[in-house]
Amino acid sequence: MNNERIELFKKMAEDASAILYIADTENTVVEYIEKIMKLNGYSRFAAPGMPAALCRNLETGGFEKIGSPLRDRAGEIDAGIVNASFGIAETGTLVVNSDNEDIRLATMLSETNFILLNPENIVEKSSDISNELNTWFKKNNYTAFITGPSRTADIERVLTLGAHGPEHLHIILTNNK
Amino acid sequence: MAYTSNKKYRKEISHALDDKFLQTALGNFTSNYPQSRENAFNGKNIEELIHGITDLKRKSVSHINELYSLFKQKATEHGAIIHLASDAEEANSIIEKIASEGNVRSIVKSKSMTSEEIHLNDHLISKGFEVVETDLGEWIIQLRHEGPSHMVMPAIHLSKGQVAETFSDETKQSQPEVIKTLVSVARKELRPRFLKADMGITGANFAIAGTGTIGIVTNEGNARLVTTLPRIHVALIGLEKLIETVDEALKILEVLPKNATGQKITSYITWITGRNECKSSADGKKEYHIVFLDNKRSEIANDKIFSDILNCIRCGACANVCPVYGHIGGHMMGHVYIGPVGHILTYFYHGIDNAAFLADNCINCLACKEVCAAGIDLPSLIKEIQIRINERKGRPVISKTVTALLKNRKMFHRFLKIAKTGQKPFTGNDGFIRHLPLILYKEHSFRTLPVLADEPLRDKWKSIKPVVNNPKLKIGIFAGCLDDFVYPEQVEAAIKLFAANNIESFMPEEQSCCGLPLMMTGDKKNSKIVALRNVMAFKDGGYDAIVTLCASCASFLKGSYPEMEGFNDEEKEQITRFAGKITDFRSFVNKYCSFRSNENVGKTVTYHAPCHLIRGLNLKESAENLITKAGYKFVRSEFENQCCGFGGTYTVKYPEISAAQLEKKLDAAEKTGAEILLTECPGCIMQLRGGADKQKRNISVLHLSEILNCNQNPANVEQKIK
Repeated sequence: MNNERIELFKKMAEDASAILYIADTENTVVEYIEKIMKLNGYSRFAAPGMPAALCRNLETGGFEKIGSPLRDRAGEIDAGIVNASFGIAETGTLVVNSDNEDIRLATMLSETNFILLNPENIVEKSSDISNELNTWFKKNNYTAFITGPSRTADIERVLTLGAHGPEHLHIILTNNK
Repeated sequence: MAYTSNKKYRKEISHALDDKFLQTALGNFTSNYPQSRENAFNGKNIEELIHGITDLKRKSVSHINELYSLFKQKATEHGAIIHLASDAEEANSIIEKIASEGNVRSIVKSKSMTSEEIHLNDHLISKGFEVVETDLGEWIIQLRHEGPSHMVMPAIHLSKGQVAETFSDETKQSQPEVIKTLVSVARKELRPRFLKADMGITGANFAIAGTGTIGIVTNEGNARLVTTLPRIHVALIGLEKLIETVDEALKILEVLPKNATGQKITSYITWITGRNECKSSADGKKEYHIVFLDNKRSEIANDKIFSDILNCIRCGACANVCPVYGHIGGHMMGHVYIGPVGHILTYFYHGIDNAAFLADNCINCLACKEVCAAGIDLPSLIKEIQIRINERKGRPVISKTVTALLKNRKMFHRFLKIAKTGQKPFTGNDGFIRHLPLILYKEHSFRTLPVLADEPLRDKWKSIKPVVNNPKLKIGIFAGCLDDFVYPEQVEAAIKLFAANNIESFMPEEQSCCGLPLMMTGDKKNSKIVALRNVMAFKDGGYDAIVTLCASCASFLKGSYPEMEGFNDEEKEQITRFAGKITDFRSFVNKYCSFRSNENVGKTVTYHAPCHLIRGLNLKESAENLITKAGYKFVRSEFENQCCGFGGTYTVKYPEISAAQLEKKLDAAEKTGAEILLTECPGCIMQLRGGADKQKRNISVLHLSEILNCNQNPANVEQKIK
C-alpha cells in the first residue's frame, strides 16, 4: 500500500472539509458510525449496497434502518452509508458507482454521509482510473465523484456547507469488505 | 438588456459604479481570485494544461458533426432519446413537447447557461409549466426576475440583505440576514420541489461521444437530485460540449474548477450514461432525453476566425480577471453570457442589437487571454466583433477622428504642432494642462493631461543624439507618439545610457504612430497602411535591433504586425524582419547595458507592469531585479499586473471606468509607501502621473529609463520626484 498516496488523499479530503477516520476492523467501523450518530442525536440510517452484518450491528445498537425505496422517506435519512470504489488522492475525491437509485439518495438526502473506502483503491489522479470509467460507461451507468460535503458560495461568496446534500462527510478507510 | 445608445449604456455604467455593495463584492472577489487560482494549480504546469485543452477542443470542434453522430449512436444504444435543435425556438419547442407528452406539471432545473441562452424558463412558464431553478444563485435571481451576472456565480451582485428580503417575500416570513440560515431556507424550500417534480432539466459540461456519457460539474449537489428524483430527465447541451473520450473530459476537469473559482475540484461530478434506475417511473427506468443545441454553433465551427470561441469551457475566468468587469459587473457587460467571452457570444447568440456597445467596452489589457482555460485569444476576437458591428452600425465619431488623424503622418504631426500652440492658454508651468478646453468634458477631469513637449523628439533629434565612435551596436529607436511628442525626455535618457555602453541610436524620420489606436477603434484597413509605412522607414538602416520605450507599441509592432493579412511576399518578409528586431527597453538594457548603482539616493520604488509588456510581449521576468540592481529599494504593490485603466482610446470612450481603475492602482501604489511608481510605457505614465498629480498623491511616476544612472546621464532622481 502506498502510504504517501494515502496521506495525500487524507490531506486533500480534509482540505475539502471531509472528516477522515481509519478503521482497523469491522467492529471499529460500526463503533465509529454509532458514535457519530449518537453525538448528533440521529436515529435512522440508510445503507444501500452495504453488507447485512453492518446493518444488523447498527440495528442492534438501536438505530432504525430505512429500506428501499429511499425516495418514499426522503426527509428521514439522518445517516447515509455507502461504499466507494476508488479514491483519488490529488483531490481527495471518492468515486461512487451509483447505478442504484438508493445509493444516490443515501449520499444526497442524508444529513451526514459515511462513505467507506478501501485504501488499496486509492489512486493518485483521476486519469489512473480512466480504464475503469471507460468500462463502466460502456453500459448504462450513473457515477458520482464526491469531494467533501455539499457546499455553496452563492451568497456573498461565503462558503457554506450543506447546500442541497449532506452537511457532513465522513470517509472511513477500511480494508474489511 | 439592449442599449440603444452609448449615452444610455454609460448611464447604466455610472449606476453600477455608484452601487457600493457591488463595488465591494466585485473588488473582494477580483482581488482574491488570482491567489486562489495559483493555490489551486499549485505544482501543476498551467500553460501545459491549457495547451492540452486548446488542442483537444480544437480537434473536437473540427469534428463536431462526427462527434454528434457517434454520441447519438452510443447514447441511443443505452436508451437515451437524442434531439438536435437548430435554434433557440426549436429547442424550446422540443422540450415543451417532451413535457406535454410526459404529462409533466412541475419541473426542477439545475444550473445551465445554455438554457439561459434560449430563455427556456420563460418559454416553459408561458406554456403553463411550473419551473424552479434549484442552484441557490439561480433560484435567487429567478425569484428576483434578474439574469446571471457571472457565469458560475450568478448572484454575485447581490448582498445577503437583498437575498434575505427576496426569501422573506417567497416564504411569507421574515428571514434574517444570516447566510447560513438563508442557505438552509433554500434547502428546506426546494426539497419538496425536487420530490414532487415530474421532470428535471440540466445542462452538461461534457458530452463524451465515445461512450454517449454526459458529465455535470456542481458544488451544491442539486444536479444529482434533478437527475435522480423526477421520472424524466432532459439534458440541454450546446454542440460545442462534444468531446471524444473520458480522458479528455478528465483533462478539462483538471482545469475547470481551478480556473473558475480557485477550487481544486467541485463537490460533485455526475457522469450519466443512458437510462438509469428511477423508482418512480412505470418501467423502473428514467425517461432520458438529450437536446443538443446548434444555434449557429456548426456555422461558427467552420468560421476561420471565430471557431476558437467554441473552445470555451464556461469557467468564467475571463470575467474574474477583467478590470472592466471588476468595476461594473456582469449585467453591464453582457446579455446572457457575460464578461469578455460574453462580448463575442452575445453577438452570435443574441444578435447585433444586444451586442452593440459591448465589444467597444474592452480595454485590451489581455488579462482574459492569459487566463483563458482554452487558450482563446479573446481580445482579438472582441476586436473582430467590433469591426463587424462598425461595418453594420457605422463607426463611432471617436473612431473616425482617430483614423482621420493617423492615416496621414504629415497631417498628424502638423496637427500635434498646432495643438502645441493651441494648448498654451491652458498650460501650467509644471508640465500639466491646468485648465481643460471645453471640448473635453468634466468626466475626463479625473487626471490632469500632460502638455505637449516644447520640441518633439523628432525635431530635436539631431541636437541630442550622442556621438558614438566605433559603436558595438547600431539600433533604431521607435519612439511612438507619446515619447515623440509628449515625453521625449524618456528617450533622451535612454540614448545617453546606450551611448555610454557604446551603442549608437538612430531615429528614422518617416516613422509614425504604431497603428494600435487605429486597431483599437476597429479600423483594420488603416492600421495596415500605417504598419507598412513604419516597416519601410526602418528597412534600410541596417539596425541590429529596434528599441522602443513604449510597451504598447512594442507589443503591437512585434506581435500584431506579422499577423496582419493582405501583404505581398516581399512586404511580408520585411514585416517579419522588422518585427524580429523589435525589443522592449528593459530586455535590451538587461542584455547590452551596464549602469551605475544609485544606492546613495536611497529611494523606494514600486512598479506598475504594463499589460502589453507582461502579456503582450510575454516578459514574465519581474522588473524587481533591474530596479534592485539600479540601487533602489523595491516594494511590490497589490495589483501590480493589473491594467492602469488607460487603454489608449478606451480612456476617452469610458472615462468613468478608466478613472475607477486608476484610483485602484494609485491606492495600491501609495499604500506601499514608495516614493517612486515606476513603469515602462508612456501611455501608463500619462494615466498614472496625471492621476497622481490631480489627486495630489504622494508618489512620483517615472519611466524606467529615467532612473538608470550613467556618466553621460546622471539620473538626478532627486529632481524628478516631488
